[in-house]
Amino acid sequence: MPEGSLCNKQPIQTDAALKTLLSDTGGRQYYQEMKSLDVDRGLLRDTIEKTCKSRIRTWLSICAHCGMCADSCFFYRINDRDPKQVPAYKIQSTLGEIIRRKGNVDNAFMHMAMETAWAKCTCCNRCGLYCPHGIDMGVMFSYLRGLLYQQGFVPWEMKIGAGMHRVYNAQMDVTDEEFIDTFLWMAEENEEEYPGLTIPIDKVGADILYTVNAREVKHYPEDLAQAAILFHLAGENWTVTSKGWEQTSLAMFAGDWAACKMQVESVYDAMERLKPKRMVGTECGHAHRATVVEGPYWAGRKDGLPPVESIHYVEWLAEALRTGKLKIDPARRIKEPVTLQDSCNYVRNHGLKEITREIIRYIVEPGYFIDMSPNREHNYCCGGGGGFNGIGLYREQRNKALITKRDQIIKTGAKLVLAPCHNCWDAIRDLEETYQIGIRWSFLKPLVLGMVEIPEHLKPKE
Amino acid sequence: MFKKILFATSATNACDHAARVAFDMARRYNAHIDAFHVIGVPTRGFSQVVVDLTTGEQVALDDNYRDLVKEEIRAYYDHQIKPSMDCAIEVAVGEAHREILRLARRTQPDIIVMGGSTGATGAYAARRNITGSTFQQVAKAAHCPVMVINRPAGSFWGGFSNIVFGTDFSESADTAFAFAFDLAKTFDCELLLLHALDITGCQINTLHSQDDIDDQIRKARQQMRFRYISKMRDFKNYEVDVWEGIPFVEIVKYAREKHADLIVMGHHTRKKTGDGEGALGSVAEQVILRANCPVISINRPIPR
Amino acid sequence: MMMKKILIIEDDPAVSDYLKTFFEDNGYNAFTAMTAQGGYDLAKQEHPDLITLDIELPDEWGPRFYRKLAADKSLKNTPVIVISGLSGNKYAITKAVASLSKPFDRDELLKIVKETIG
Repeated sequence: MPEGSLCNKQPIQTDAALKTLLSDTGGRQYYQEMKSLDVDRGLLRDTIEKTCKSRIRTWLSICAHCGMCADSCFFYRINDRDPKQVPAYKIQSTLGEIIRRKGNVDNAFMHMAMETAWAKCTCCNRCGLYCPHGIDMGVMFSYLRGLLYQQGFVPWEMKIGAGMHRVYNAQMDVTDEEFIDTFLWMAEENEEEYPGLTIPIDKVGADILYTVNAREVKHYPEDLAQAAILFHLAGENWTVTSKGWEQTSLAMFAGDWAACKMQVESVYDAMERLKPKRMVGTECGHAHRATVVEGPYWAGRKDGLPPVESIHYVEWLAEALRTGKLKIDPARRIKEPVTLQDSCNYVRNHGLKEITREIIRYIVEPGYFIDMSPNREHNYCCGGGGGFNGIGLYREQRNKALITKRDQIIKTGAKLVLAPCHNCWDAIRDLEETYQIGIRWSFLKPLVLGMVEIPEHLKPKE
Repeated sequence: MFKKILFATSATNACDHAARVAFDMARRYNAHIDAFHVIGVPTRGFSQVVVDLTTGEQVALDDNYRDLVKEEIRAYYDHQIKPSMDCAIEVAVGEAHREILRLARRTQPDIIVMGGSTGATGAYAARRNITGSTFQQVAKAAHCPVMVINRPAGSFWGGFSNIVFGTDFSESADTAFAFAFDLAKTFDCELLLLHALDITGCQINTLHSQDDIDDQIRKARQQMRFRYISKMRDFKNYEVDVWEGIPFVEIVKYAREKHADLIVMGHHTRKKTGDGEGALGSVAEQVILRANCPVISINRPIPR
Repeated sequence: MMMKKILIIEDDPAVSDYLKTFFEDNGYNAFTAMTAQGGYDLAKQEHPDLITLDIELPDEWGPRFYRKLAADKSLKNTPVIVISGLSGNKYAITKAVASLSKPFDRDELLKIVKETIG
């Protein structure tokens, strides 16, 4: 059977197709069909020829197999230093092999490559930091995922995630109407406590355009409320867009390049339409990577930048605290041992390592912050990055991958973990569920909201 | 007054007492009742895996599972759902308090009825180790009265006849009074108004003299007349009392002595609950945990 | 000495008959009511020495019956034993002499009755 009815080379294009795929609980039929999915070798060869440029080819050929990357990879460390978990091996045996064989690979090979790409690498890019040649395996794995996606060898949840973006322009089935309605609901729920709280929609020329993660809309609307309240208290001139509000990109995790472009362009369109001075994204790591770091290239922007200056939530928050737009009541600062999870996607990959520590200086009583070791750009992935969290097929591997972070946290002795990234937040929650080490974890918004001083004129009248 | 009831349930024995009251109300007042169950929290990011709150098991969520849960709930309440009853079973996935509020916003029930505990087990319950954070958050944000039946004793009840209204003279207490008074008129009940004078704030050596306390009681009685009695016009079936002590203890004791079948209070919470897990601080929350009868808490004016 | 009177308020005829026979065998004068209202009328008329009360009655919940009883000066001190199949029934009427769950131990019941009214 060349193509399955669920597992095939066609991206999800319609809501009906999405629902059909979703109804295949756990992807049972999907993975069954994958076993006999043909590899379109011609397509693979052509794609490599067209898209595999000199950077990746050079990287693959100059790799000296020196093994310096081995210890940088948390998969290698927690899997008894299995040589098959050395980053150089993982990429050479998959992408390297496909290129060397000019796409002449079979179904079994593609299965192996899929598992390697999604269950042995979270695209955290830590190995790239330690390679003497500066070879970035994370970037190459992202590329490999694209080749695998094109051939239909992609985990079930990833195919769904990319399909969501294609159908809803969001990672979950949240419509534009639901997004706006949920935000308004949150204003309703909080306007008594915060008089004057409103959600400015589609306001042209605002100082800030705020973009979110669809999960907040779907399951954690408190996050939207907290963002709105903090902007309100800081006196910001902000807005949200009724279209193009989703900052994340499961399409990036899936390797669905076309959907990546489509998704990020919807956000850039909103920027062009509303002409805000800046865009601020929510506390999410990969969303920042997708929209701010990689997005401009997907969209073919010559300057490599989004249409307007785009910053991560932690940058806005640090600025608001630094300039006094938000004032912390010193009595309500965190007074317990607390640590911080550095998100790979905006710390290692976008240099925001000091900004989160600046925030900590404002919100944690001196002496209570304990850094993980290693930290900043050397920090380890939470264990669930790059889509790993969501893939049922690789749950066991993922749970094992959480051990690195678990032990790092235990070593700090902190019972509270700040996790200003959705993916890290999820992974840390799951690690507590799996290993029960007695920790709590939080985004920054709810904590800051609990300690911020409310300006006199914004207090409710008693 | 009760044409549409939202009964939020864990569909376990933790909610049996609340169920008894909810279905009794539906029968008594010919109300539509939505028995609503939140299956669990979406875990693992965007995956389709959910930890079922009732069993603590990980389940792959699909329509079959939803239908299965619905059937289970119907079977669980089979003896309480009368054939003539206008009853619908609804299930959802998410955080319990959020999904209850979401449904309430959509269906605009006259009252939400819930148990005090969600009956969560396993790791999830351990994590949310504060009993009843769901009802706290629902009570805080709901636009309708929220009735909580936390103890079995609270459920041995049938219709309203004897309502205790506990007040601290706050704005939300005024809202609660309007509702309690309406209820008393509609169902021809006795309305028992109590202010519990808080004397816990003082240290032993600065303990108020009894003259001070009596003065405060007198003042509180004036407040009662000014705030409430003056608004009741020709309604005569009431009593007014001011008791001093620890407020929640006094209210619970008073309700027991008066054989109240309902307590109505303002929820009165402006306090921050951090990421949604505050301590059971307010008087209303303590009363909910301890009362011998259902407790209705009201935090927002009820749209008419 | 006059026989002590026990009023049984219970809507299940099997339980009601069983209790009546049991009390009569032990030297009490027992009579029964199927509903709360019936029980109340009978209590007014007979002034029993003790009442056994089911929680779930067709017309009324037990605690509400008890409240009515407590509001009547001539009946308010009548001892009540709760006999019910509902969970948590010991909290239902805190001033009851005892609360027994169905199925109950008849020796225990007899002991409580004897301790209460002799």
